[in-house]
Amino acid sequence: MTREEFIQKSMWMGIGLPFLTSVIAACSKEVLEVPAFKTDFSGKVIVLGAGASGLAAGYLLQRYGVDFQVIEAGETFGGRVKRAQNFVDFPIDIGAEWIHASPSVLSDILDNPDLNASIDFIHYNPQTFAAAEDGYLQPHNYASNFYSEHKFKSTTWFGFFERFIVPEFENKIVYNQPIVEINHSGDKVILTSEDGTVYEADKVIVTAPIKVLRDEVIAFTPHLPQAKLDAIESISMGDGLKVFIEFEERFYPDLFVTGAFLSSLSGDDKIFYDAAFRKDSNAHVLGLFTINKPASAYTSLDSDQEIIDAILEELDQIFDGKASKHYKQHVVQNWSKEPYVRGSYSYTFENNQWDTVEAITKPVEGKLFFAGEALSIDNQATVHGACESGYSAVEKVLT
Amino acid sequence: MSIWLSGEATAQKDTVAVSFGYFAPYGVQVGGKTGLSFNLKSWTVERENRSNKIRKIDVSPQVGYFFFPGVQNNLLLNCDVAYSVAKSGARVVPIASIGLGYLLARQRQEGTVNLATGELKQDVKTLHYFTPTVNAGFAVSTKRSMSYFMKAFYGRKIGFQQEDASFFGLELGLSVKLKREN
Repeated sequence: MTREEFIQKSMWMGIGLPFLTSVIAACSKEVLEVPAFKTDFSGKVIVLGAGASGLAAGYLLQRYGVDFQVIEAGETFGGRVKRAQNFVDFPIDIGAEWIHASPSVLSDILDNPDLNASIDFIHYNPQTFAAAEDGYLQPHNYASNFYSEHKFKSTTWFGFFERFIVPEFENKIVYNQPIVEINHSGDKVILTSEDGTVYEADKVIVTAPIKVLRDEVIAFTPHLPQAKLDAIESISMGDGLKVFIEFEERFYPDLFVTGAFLSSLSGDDKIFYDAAFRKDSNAHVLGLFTINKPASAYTSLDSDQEIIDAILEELDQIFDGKASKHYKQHVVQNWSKEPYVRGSYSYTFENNQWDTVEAITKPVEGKLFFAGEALSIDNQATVHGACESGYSAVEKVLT
Repeated sequence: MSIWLSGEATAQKDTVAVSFGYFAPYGVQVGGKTGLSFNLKSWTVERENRSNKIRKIDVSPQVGYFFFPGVQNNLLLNCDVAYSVAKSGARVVPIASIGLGYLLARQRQEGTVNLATGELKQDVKTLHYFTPTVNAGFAVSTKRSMSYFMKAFYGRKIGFQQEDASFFGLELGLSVKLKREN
């Protein structure tokens, strides 16, 4: 059952509201286990993509002393893990933001008992909730008793990878090399980048987002098996947008939605939230997180300025013009317009999730392997799920 | 809650009862509650050619505990004043009550994770609330000294350091009479 299905069924039963899934996740102690195995693999591996999954794959390959490279299309690592470092007085995750599990999952990801480091986190348990319906803000503070997750307090997901994962193999990451073709017809896999650079490996782990695979941004020669293509096609990944606006003063609750409260939280997501909640900050920063249809209304606009204008107008209607009055600055992250992402994250599975993931992760001729947030059964659509999938792919490659 | 017990419509005056119950604020939080019930007043309304009606007023001090897994532990001290009316000999007694409680919440707000071991150190903040509630439910007598009860409550969590919020949920439990006057 996907996260979306679980939320909807909880709603129908009238029991846990959309929040129960986060409560369950927050209670679980160990959600990720780094595989340990023996290997006699001696070839070269290329990891395609330096997002969470690709970085985790690189981290494990480095541990096993394998010859490998991580090839990233963009100019930096992280993928959908991204940071606005100097926007205000604390770093902001403009991509993946929440820790959808116990914070101990950070230790699980690193799996390094000799590490002498800690990270501070917050219980993201907003105390004031509201729904803006017909221009009127209706409080729903009781929701604080249903919902709690975790966030980084003074760093970000990007900062986590930057400090603990990337330094392990930084010299093996190649940037600005969008791969346009993967030829796996011979003994070696040949990857060709947009500028014609050719890379060769014995095995390749593809961690491109599901939408990039669906849009056939990468040409596979020969074509991927039809069952795999069908499975890729059956996973939806809608539009995605995050916006952060700094205001001179705060005029909004910890979290609010537009439209009916429960249906807004159970359906396609669009939430406004105090991004400085429990952070050590004097800044007033309102975040907008939206995916799927609600996001499309913004992501389809021509420019970031049009997006911010639309949001401020919307906020002004709810807060009697206070948004425009107190506006200072903004940052827009339009994930749908990112050429190597093209959306938010995996959402619905047309068919059985297990079968779909099995079909995609099944190696192609022992040379092509697939990983990513969409391909974690237990932790789909999360950063630690992406890492888990990356580790799983490495285990398949090396054993 | 033990007020439900005293709803048993007999000519007796039930002086003390004790109750134990499952207490689930917001439907998803988990906890328990226990309390005593003292009958303040009961009187019989005689009706010609019809069963007499017994009316009662009870007061019930209670202590409860519930938790929001991984986030919050709560101690509730509450007192209900309940009114019930039922036909003489009725097994099922509807009851309404009002309550006022003091809620002490211990809430985790931030912490540190040791990246080597995964061990979490949590900082906990103490929060204080008043919880006025209105309650409605019923009691079902099974024996002379025992009743099951169920009630729904709705009210406010009025915070000293936090914004107010609705406070609602369900209680299910068992009530046992300890002392009876005939």
